[in-house]
Amino acid sequence: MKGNIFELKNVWKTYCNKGVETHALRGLNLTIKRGAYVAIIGPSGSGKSTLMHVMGCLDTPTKGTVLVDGKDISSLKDDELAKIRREKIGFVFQAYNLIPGLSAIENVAMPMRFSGHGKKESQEKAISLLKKVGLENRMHHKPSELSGGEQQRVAIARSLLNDPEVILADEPTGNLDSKTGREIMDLIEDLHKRTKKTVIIVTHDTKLADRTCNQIRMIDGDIAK
Amino acid sequence: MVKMMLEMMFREFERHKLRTFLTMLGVLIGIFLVTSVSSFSEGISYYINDRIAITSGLVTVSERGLQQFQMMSSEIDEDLVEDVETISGVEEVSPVLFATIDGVSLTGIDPEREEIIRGITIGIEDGTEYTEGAKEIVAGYEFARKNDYNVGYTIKLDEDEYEIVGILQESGDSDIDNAAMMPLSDLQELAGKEGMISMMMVKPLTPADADFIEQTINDEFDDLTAATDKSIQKSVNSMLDQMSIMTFALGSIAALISGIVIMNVMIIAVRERRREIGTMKAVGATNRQILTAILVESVTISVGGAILGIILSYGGAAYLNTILLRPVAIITPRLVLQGILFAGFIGMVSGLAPARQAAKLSPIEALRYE
Repeated sequence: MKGNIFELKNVWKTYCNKGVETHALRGLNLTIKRGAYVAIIGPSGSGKSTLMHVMGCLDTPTKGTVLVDGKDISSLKDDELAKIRREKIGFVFQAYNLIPGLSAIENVAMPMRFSGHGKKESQEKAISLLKKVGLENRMHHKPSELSGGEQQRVAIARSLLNDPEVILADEPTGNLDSKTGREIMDLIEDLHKRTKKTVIIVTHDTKLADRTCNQIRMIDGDIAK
Repeated sequence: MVKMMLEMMFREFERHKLRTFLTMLGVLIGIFLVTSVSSFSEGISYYINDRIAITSGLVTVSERGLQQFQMMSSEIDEDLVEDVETISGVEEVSPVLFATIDGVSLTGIDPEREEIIRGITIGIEDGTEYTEGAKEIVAGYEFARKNDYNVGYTIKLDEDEYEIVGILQESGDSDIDNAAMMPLSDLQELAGKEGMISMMMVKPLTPADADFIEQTINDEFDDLTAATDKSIQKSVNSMLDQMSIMTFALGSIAALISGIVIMNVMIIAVRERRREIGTMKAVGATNRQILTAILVESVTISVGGAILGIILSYGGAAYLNTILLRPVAIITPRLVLQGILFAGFIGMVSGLAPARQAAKLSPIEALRYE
């Protein structure tokens, strides 16, 4: 399918703290094509995380329109946003964000359980995804029993569970040593090649960004021209 | 979905065993108290209804100033029997003495008039009636069964041998079933209470005379209280009402305290799990799913505590009843249901605020790294 997966038009995000207004995004315009492999880079405070929150439907813009797969999300309710996150977007976080009490399988299966699928069905899919990320021998371990690299692999498997259009990775190698970080990036790259899913990586690591096809550089809440 | 949440919840309980238990303890104590107090009310009303069935139509006369359930310690002068007999409308008066000797509950009854107190329906199942002055007794059904007594056995009461000449039919009244009967004069001698009785049962000529007899005795005898079964029922009911007010007060306090404890723990739990909750929302959990999860958790803690409290209360009641030989406290199915529903309600109400807090949590929380 062709077309744009993200279209952002004049997007503002303003935070108000004790009467002081801070603009995290200042009238940003951005289009990302379906199947793209993009890095969003920029120094901390440049608004790249806020941009990712808005694209990931974790947050809505203060002003402007955000089209995700052609649908305007700026005025959607919490539950509608949750549905889009569940169906269209897979997240990979810097700190992996696995649920400590659940095993790798259960963590991966969780999104499907939230969308109402049964335990057996969800876990079967989770197992096949864990095999794909090379964790067939660690599936029953709890996050605390896994290394950082392994935890991030679990998180990647989880992001793929609902077969989303987009993978949004926020500093996916930020908590890993450089060797493990490279392995995770290899995995993500391989994933992009095989599945043709849109992959967006938010990072401040330019070396990592150089591996992607496109780079979007952010500065002061807008894209650097 | 719900199953997964239950699984996660139990993992969470496992991780915080002590905290979960302490939270449950609040509800446990509350429900234990409420259920126990209510079980006494149930026990009393069961006991009284039993009594009333047996003494139906009679006027009970006892020492002034004593409550219905203190009948065993009532003491009145035997001479008053004759005075009561002169009241118009009285057909027959049966004096009764209660005494406990060597652990045996004994009831002394005038051999001529025993059917008044024993009721027409309770006959001798095995053996014969006793004879005055012959050191003979008739055993109540339960009393004989528990001790394995048969007709012809002798038991020792205050150094003297008494022969069991008869065993009564089962009456259903635990006071009669667990006691042994002997002639009034024999018991007076044995207990050293010559000329004293515990109470009189007065049989009116017609049921309509009962109220008049009650009135006359209460007005004219300084040492006596008379009560028809109707007025006994009334006074018991008012006592039960008072107990239910007490239960209500106790229940409200228990609910308030355990509710606060649960709410406090749930608020802490939600705060601790901000990131987990945020992550769940980021991967697609709806607000309602999060709200349900937290509510289910707090209701489970509360109902779990209540079930433990009811079990404890049941054990306590069973123990008391065994010691006291009669159903003092009764845990009815109604009390169990009431305790569980009450706890469920407490869990629901106290979990609501933390659950809403959790549901409103922004998924961005998941991305804030500590």
